[in-house]
Amino acid sequence: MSAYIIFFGKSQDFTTCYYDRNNPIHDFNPVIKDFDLLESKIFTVDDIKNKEILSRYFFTAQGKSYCLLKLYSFAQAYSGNRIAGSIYGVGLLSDNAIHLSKNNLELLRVAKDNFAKLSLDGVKFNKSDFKDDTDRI
Amino acid sequence: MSIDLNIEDGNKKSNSDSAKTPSKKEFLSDLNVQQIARVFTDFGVQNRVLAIPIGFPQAGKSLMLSSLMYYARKGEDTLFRTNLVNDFPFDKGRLAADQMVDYFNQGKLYQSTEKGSLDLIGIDIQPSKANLPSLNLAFLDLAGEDIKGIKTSEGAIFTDKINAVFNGVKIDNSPIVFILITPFEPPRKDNESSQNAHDREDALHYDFLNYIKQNQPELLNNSKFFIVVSQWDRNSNAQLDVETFIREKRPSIYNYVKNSTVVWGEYSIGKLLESKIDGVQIQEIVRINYEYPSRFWKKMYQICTNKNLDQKSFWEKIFG
Repeated sequence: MSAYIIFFGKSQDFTTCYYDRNNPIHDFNPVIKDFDLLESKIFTVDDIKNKEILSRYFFTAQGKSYCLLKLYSFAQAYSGNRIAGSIYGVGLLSDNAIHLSKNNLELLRVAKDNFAKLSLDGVKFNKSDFKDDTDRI
Repeated sequence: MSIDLNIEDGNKKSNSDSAKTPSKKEFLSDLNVQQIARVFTDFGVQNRVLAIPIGFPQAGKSLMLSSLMYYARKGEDTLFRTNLVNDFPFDKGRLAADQMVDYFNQGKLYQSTEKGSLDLIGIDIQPSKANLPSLNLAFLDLAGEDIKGIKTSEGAIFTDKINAVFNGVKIDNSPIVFILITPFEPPRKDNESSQNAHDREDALHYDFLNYIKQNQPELLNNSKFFIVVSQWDRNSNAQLDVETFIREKRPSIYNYVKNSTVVWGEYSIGKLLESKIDGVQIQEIVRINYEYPSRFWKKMYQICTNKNLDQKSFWEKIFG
């Protein structure tokens, strides 16, 4: 079973940092080419008052089935002024169906809280590139 | 942090769940690359010009498109009228255009285009003068993050979907207008000077132009370039003209295209009111600019048809 944790956010450009059980993955294309389900198109963050969103996706990529569970909310870019589409969050990805269990949700919660602690000031990114922060988490 | 996931039991795999999901309407971006390419092979037959705004993240690409769509819908131009196309492959683009106009109407900044988007906005321009031809356009709205893949340090490749578009267009050598959008003040990265941000922006566009020349040379035969400096309202120097700006701040782009057929222009969506509330920057469009979108549409028509929307007839020239 493959499992990945992904930190994502629009700190300036929309940025993603992928990790498997042991290491960061610098190029995710060999796993899933042009993976684009992290920046939400349906349940979007379009207001500062939006609450956290938890979503689960089942999808197929390159003939293989995957499940993505992600928790995300509003955070404005380091040098940006937009509200709509300003997000940060954490996702879990696996080729098995990820359970909506207490453990999985806690994993997302802890990862997202630590991400916020290091990379945000309130609800604004404090840097344009958060990769060093997520490596520490 | 360890990744110990709770997995649903037995052989329950994702596709067993998706089988329960009702089938959804497929938009252009949901198709496979072969199907996407095939859609664009029809552009030659439809006599449709593909316009691709090329801007890197936060260049103001979505805002400029919003301003153009707003003007197309609500502007009171007497020289032409526009019709948005509803049907596939323009259906998702039509929804996006409606949303852009709604946001613009409320003074809100439209959200940036999400990675993987392939929104195609079909818009037909019908000149008021009966002797002028109509112009069928298709604006392809791409995410800045996907365009950024062209940067040499990011691998110098487009996504498979974008390459599929180019492959389709090449079949009939259908015309393309690349609208290179570069901001007056590019957003700075951590500890980056203003000059460094300008240099980075210049390099990104150079990488794009170079990619087209090296990897898609067939496209160049029927391509035109429109270079737009967005956020021109931030320019406080009334003496500065757009060509000087590009020559000084985007020297690589300038040198690359100075001997080609290229149109320069500046653009502003209007005046923005900026405030900071609870640490969050808020911008609101309080004065909508109608002049820049009007000029853009007229210039676009001229580039594509070699005719002027405001051209005067022989008798009009004589009698004014």
